[in-house]
Amino acid sequence: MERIIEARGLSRSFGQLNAVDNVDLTINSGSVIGLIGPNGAGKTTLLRALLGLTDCEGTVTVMGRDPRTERARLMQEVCFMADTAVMPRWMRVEQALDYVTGVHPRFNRQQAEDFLATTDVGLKRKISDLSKGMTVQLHLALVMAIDARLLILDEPTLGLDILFRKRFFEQLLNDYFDGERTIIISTHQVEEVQNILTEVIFMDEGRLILQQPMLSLEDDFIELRAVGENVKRAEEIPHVGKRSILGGKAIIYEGVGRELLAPLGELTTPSVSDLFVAKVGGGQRHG
Amino acid sequence: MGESAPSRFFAMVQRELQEYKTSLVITPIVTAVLLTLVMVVSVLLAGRISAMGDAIMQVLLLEDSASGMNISIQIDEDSANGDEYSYTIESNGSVSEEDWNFSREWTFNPRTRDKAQVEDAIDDQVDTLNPMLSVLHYIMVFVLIMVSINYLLGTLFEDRKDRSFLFWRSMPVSEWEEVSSKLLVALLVAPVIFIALSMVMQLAYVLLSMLLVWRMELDPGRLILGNIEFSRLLFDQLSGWVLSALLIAPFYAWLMLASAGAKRSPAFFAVALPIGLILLEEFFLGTEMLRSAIANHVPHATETSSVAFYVAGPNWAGVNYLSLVLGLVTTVILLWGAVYCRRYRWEI
Repeated sequence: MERIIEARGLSRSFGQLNAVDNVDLTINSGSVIGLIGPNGAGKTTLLRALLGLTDCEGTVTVMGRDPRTERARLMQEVCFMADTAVMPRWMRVEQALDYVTGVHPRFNRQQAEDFLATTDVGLKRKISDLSKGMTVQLHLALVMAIDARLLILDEPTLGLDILFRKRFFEQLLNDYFDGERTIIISTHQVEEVQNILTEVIFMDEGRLILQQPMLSLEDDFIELRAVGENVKRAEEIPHVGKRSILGGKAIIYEGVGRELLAPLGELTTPSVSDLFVAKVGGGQRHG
Repeated sequence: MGESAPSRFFAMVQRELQEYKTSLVITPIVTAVLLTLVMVVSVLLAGRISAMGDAIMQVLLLEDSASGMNISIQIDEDSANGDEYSYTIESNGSVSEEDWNFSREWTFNPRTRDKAQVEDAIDDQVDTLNPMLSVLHYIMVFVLIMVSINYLLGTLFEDRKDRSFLFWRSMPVSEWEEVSSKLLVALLVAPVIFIALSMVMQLAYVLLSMLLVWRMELDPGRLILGNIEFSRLLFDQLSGWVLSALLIAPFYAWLMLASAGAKRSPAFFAVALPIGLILLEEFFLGTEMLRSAIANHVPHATETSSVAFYVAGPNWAGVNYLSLVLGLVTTVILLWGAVYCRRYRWEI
């Protein structure tokens, strides 16, 4: 595994607001990382700092380059896809292909055209005439035809319906991810990406509150479904969050032995979304 | 694959021409077509007059120094014995309407001069047609500058407004490449389009003039082509733009900085800030250095001339070279500012 991203003390402020607050981050190649956080958590600012799109303090290298000074060179090996609204609406599809062909040394136009041939996106069509879903398909066609080592997606499926969202992530995983590339996905739709993630990062108020491989979540976090009198005893054990379920509580613990919890109810591995809510849940936190 | 610099540059320029197709491509074509139509209509009207008799044109063109027209009226009225009648028109006499017989055929035969005489006279009067052709060029360059101002104010603002900035930023193109390519479009690519069309239009004008002269049965080669210095015209118009471009560069760079830095209205930013600074300088320092510096680089008309606007040809001897060099240094600084805004202050 190669170290793709390394950041130390990364900070970015807007006036009094610390959008990214002293973040240390290490990401290795060959992983699919979910960057998850509430609105205003600093996800977009963090991604932009990694891409050299915003000034920041601290040290940051992406594939050995400082994005603040070598962004153009870096973007030969990094792809970035923001939400659906960023494709230039005045362009025609073939003009977008012409442009990327002209400026990107790692772009394979034939591959992009082959991908588009499987969709309803015609080459002569104007981008402003495409639906949101088709615009994303066009953007995905461009991205997938670039031989990049790092793909950063910032809310790529925002505003899309469920069918397009599912297709998008399927294509991303089946046609793009090869086990060596690295994909960072910032999204609100945690449930839709949790099955493809190898690592998850939770972010809140500009800080990273969790960075963990998906496989180790099972070892470190347990969800106890306690009902009846067991609820009170379960709540007395230090936990990271809880929520109400039918007749009781679902309580998430970190680093607590299964043998201690097993007598109190059913044990499961918490979903990423439940874990996220538990970790950033504020008032629900305990211990 | 876009590995070579020319390929990258071509792709970037092509993108500008596609995005600003209306301003940079359609507008000059429409302007040229409209001006050509005006010329065609003029020639047709002139041709109509010519159809009434070439002599009218000759009279209009030549007879200003002559003593007057000699109008003779031929009345085709046969007398019984074949004698010729003689009629006299008296200027002071009052003739009752009943005495006029309009059924007679009236012809207009001004005194004619021979063809060589006419051509000599025209040749003497027309020194060169270059200034006339330059008028067309002036119009095209005026439209070019208006279009360029509009282009530069929008080019680094519109993509931030519609967020397509993030798509462009996802490509391996540096901010310097992007900003300099846009400046080059304004200083070189757009002018090439406008000047090329201007020349085509001037050629059309020449051809139409030749046609008109030919219909008058005069020698178009001598009267039109002989009075146009083509090489001089081409050199003056091209080199005139080169000097204009060097002088106008800081003005254009300022517009780009306004476009890159403005949160709402680049035009307001571009106008309000200099005016504010000029007023502050005049109020607190009592000097007009900034006003003078700006005046040296912004095309504008004065009562007697136009400034930084060498359309019909450069005047290298009259150039303030210190101002020119300072302007170019300012251009680099302003472009650096635009690049900085593009890199770190792009969010609206």
